[in-house]
Amino acid sequence: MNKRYKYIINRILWGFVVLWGVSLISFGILHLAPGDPARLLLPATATWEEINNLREILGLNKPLHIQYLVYIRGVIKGDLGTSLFYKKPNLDLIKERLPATLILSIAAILTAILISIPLGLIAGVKQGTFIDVLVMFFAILGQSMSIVWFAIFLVFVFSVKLRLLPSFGYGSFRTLILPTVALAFEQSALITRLTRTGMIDVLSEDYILAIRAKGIKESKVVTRYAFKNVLITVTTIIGLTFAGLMGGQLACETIFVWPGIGSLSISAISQRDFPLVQSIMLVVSAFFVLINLAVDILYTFLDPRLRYD
Amino acid sequence: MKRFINVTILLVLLTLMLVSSCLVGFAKEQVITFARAYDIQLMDPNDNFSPANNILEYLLYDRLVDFDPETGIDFIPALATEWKISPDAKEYTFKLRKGIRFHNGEPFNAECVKVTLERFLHEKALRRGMLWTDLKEVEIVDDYTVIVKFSEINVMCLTTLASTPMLPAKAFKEKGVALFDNPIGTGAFTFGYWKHGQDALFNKNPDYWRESANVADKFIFLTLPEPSTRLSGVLTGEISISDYMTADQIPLIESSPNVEVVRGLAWDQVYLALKTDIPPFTDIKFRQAIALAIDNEGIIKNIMRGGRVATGFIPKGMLGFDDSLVPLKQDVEKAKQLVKESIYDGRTLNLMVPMGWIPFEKEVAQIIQSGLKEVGINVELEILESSTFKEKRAAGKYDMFLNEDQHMGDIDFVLQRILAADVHKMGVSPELKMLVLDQRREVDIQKRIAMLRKIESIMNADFAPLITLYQFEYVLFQQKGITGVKYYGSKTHDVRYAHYEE
Repeated sequence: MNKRYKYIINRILWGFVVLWGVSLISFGILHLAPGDPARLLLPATATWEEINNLREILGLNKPLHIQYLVYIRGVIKGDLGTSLFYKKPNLDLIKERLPATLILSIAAILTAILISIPLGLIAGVKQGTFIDVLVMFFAILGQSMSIVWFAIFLVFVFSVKLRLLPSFGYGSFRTLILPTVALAFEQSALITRLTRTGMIDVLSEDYILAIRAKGIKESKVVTRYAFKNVLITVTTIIGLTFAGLMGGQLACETIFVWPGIGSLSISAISQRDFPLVQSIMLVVSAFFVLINLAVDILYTFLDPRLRYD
Repeated sequence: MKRFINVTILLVLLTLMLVSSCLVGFAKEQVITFARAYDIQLMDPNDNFSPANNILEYLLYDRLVDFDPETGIDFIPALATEWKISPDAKEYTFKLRKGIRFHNGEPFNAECVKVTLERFLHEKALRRGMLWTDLKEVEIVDDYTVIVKFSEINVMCLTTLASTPMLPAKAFKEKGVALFDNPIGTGAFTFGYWKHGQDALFNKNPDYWRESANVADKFIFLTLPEPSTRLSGVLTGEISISDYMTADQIPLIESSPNVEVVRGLAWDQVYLALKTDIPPFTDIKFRQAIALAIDNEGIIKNIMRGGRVATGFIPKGMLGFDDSLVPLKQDVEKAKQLVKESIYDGRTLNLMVPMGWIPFEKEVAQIIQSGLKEVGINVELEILESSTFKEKRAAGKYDMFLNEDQHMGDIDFVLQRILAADVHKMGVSPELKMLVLDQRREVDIQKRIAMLRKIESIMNADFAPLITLYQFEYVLFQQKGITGVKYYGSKTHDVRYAHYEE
């Protein structure tokens, strides 16, 4: 079989092992953490009898290994169980939120790439100049500024004062702008710095010297010869960043009322909605596995020296 | 000819302007957006305890009785036109209103009452089932007469019914809980859609059996957990009414010409619970010292910026409240003396504080801590996430904890659990437990009030098992020109007639 396909199948199989590990760890952590879902589903003044009654109905009084086996058996059949709090299939709840998370993640990462890669390239080429200082200032600002503060600031300026954009909501391009800007600013900081560093390293390589000695134009040296090697380093961080965004962005989702996975998972965790938390962790981990696989495959196209073995 | 053409064009333009302004007048619909911090839990009105749900149930459903908006604790007819209570308060006979239809056209009748209430007998996992533990059966006398029967004396029936929406019997029998994917009621609004964690839309019911001229065309219920988002939404006009605001945000809207504040006393009180079955809390002098050390006036004035210092466990506005009681004033010197005379050995006590329950919980806890420190009591704060707090509290693993109880209609529900059942393991005295159990069996309202006041006076005199600190306000920001909302201390505001004045 073609080496590439063997590699992909091997990675997918390992991906299942990772997901099994995630399900085990998430199950263990949730049940070890304080907090009884039955107690949380009932009012604060529920009696022990009422709580125990509900635990029995929900199957929470069964031995842990039985509860885990019941859950895993369902997962294998494609049933991620039912939310204790919402009383709806977990898969339906997650599917409701996935589009919003996907849209925001894609918008944020694309915007971050469009901003950070050119800035990083320019800063790397113009190392030590005023432009480099300006770009680094932007990057440090993005990394050190609280996204919560920045998001509220954006709302204050563009919604409350200027009345240009809605302050919250989901479903239109206008509602996408502010959360995208907030997230992209945060994410582009790291990508900019890595691109800059990568550029500086690559431009000091001997082969670049050789290319310059051939009299090739500087713009071509940067874009055609140097940039491709920088991309290899930056691709990893972009992949990890995108995978992280797919796990949900609680700050933006809360402030802009963006109905993504992040706010659903926080709500599920605070309610000790075990089945829903486990299902979210499984789905998010699956995205991580797939995105990592995609990045690894992309590597082999970017750098032919890399092999599948 | 030219003049004729000019005049004609002018007339056509004027006509178009007139027609378009009329069309705008016809096309303009009233849309109310209501923002709250908490998400709707479920559309099943019998299976949730979410504060958000209580409000939307006013939109979709009706109940047999409603709370009197003037007093908040008396009852007025709704789907029931009159009722009779048996002398032993075990049977409630209701005459039902005729000619009411659900949104799907199904008639409201005695069968609907039976199906709605007997759900609590058949479905044990329903979260509101704990309000109906004494229910025996619902007997249908005729299509518009029904008797609700209890196995024990039940003086809470009307209170509970005032928060129990009526369901369509036929539709529920056919669909079961699937009915709540598209809930059907008799209310002023029909169900549009619900997006979890986002919003829910309700459309005006043109056939509402009550007056419907002042019902908005659309009601949008928004879930906005972040206070700054609710604030900015109301400032930009995207939100009509924003609930769960706090008094410290009022200065931020003062400059806005379009927003106004609505505030009133909520039935919520914050109290300090004590583990009265372990030293030093077994000593009344120590408990009294704690009560005298806390600056409740300062909390109300500087932190809450509104509300009142509590005079007892019964909040102002609720049945049994005694307005002759005077709040305890802070007395640092007396508190110091009492601490010296008590059995307190100087150990550091822990004060558990739940995150996100009480407005400004950290600031309030710090004021309490510094007040106790001043009189010689060492306290360490333990600010805990909600489920961890509940777990530790239920296990009795605390010295003190700060808490807030929300009341809906009658104080009995909270009394039963906190005092009679002592779910928080505070070490409630047997005498108090007995009194709490007895008052809920008292049919005579005046006698019951006397019993509630006796319970309160024992707690006040004993400073046990808890010390009520203050009662706070509900605060809403809304667009000027909105009218028709009835505000209740329970914070279950009746929003079905919210609309913009023309």
